[in-house]
Amino acid sequence: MLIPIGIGLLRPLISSKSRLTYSGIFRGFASSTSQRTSDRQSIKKDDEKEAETNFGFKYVPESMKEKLVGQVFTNVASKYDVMNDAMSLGIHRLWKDYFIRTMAPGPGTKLLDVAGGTGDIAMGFLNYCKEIHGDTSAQVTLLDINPKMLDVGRERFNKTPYNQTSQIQFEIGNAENLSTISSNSFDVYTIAFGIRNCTHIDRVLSEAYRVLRPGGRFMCLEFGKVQNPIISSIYNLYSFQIIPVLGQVIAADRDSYQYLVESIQRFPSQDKFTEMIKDTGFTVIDKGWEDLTFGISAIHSGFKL
Amino acid sequence: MEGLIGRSSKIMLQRIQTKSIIKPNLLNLRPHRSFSYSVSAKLINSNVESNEQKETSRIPLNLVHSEILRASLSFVPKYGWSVESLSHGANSLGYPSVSHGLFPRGGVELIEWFLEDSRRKMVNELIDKMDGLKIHQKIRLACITRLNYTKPYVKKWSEALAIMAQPNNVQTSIEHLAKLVDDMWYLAGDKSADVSNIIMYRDVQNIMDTFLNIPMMNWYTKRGSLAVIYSSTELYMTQDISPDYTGTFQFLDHRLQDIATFGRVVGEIDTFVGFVTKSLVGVLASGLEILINKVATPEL
Repeated sequence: MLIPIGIGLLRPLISSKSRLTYSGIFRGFASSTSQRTSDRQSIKKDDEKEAETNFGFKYVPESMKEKLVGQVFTNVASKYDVMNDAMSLGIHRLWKDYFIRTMAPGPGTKLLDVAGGTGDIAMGFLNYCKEIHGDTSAQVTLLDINPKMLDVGRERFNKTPYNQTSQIQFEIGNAENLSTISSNSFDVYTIAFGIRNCTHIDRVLSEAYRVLRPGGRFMCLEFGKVQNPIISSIYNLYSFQIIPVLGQVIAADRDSYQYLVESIQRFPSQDKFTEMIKDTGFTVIDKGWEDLTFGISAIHSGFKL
Repeated sequence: MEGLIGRSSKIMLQRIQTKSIIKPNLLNLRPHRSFSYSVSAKLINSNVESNEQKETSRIPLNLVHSEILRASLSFVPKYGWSVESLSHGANSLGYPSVSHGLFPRGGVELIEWFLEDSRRKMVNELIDKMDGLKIHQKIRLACITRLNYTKPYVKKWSEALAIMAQPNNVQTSIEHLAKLVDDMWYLAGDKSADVSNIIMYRDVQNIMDTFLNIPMMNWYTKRGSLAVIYSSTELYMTQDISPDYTGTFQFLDHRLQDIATFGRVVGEIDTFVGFVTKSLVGVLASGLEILINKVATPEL
């Protein structure tokens, strides 16, 4: 416990560039300064007028969440993949691989990868089609709200044979309002570890329903709630004690990773999220979700029929 | 008589009676079955799928599911009972290939649907054609009709048997076989359950003895033996190269004769039942063996 406090006190010395600059309150082990208390009071006045939503364990006005999340991801973009490997001990690769195998796309499938960011799913999808079917007609549109994350994705794809082909397209867009995407145009819609960052999940789901073809599949890979109490306590310990520290040490940004673990707690449980998917109009098969690693993450699936 | 009827038997009797109200059929009573389904209800009620919602086999509820499965069957000779067939089937209807995800267990769902569909087709086809035939002729006709449905897929049938023999799927495949055999005997006008079928579970030291000596045992042995005959004939068919499958039908006739000869030996009943159950598992395992042999020596 002393180490996080020590790092927290040293933070002003360590991280000068990547400090979150929003006027909200950020919680760390360092105590809040008077500057921050006055900001807290100004936020309170705004709260009375607008509906609030969660940003980690804090509540912020709805209009602000997008901006705050944008700042988080702008800060973490360059170290995103490294941090994923460090935090999940590489297990996220297994999750994403299993995710694509469950999808088992055939030749010529068109995928819309929303909140695709650095392109893990898109890359895995194209590789799967090439290796399993020898197919080069599969297409993926990688959509993200954050230009910095897309830039990192573009750089990654530059080193692959898919570079400059029609197989991969990059687009900036908001999952809640896919204005550039026409209806009934994609075979599969995926959103991996992105939907909990969206302000209005129901709008994301209805947009997903709109852009899918009849028979198309909505797939969502997201963190979930762990049922087993022993694993749950170990997982919570790991999330709240170790991950923010890793964030500080590797990416010099503790707060973003604090937001990450808090947002996982705030996201609805697997069955509630499945209800939301059903309410949108998707057909859900059997349970509707599959737990991975004791429920630490889960694959949700629905069909537009 | 009331004092002798145990409470569990009373409940069973009530359940049986309510069933016979719903389905007007030739039989007044049916022995308590571990599989719950009703043949005659299917025959009256054209909307089969809503009836079967409560049943143990997972029949797709949605019309789209059945459409895709039916379309996928035509791809089975080329791609086998697999996700690929389902993908191509979905594609042929204009759905994207990822629609195969509607069937999370993959090829097995296609096999199960095929078994269910063929059984229904058999019943619908034969319900009018059974007049004037003797019982063994009716059984023979039912078996032949059902075998004919497997003919288009016979080259891939050993693969289907191997999939069905996997531990995950053994239970449902045995259920399908049991339902098939029950339907065949129903079509043949099986009246072996006409006698009063109340079992007394109380005051019985050796349940197996009591169980085996009552007339209802006939119901189980008939279905058990027909299950073995039918499945071994189907297995024979997978490697039959005679023109027009005449070899298969001869095999069927021989097996039916065997049962007619040996089935009446009452004293051997307990070993016979054991034999039937072991044979069933053995038949499924033989399917696996045949498939392995086929893989080892690929045919042209």
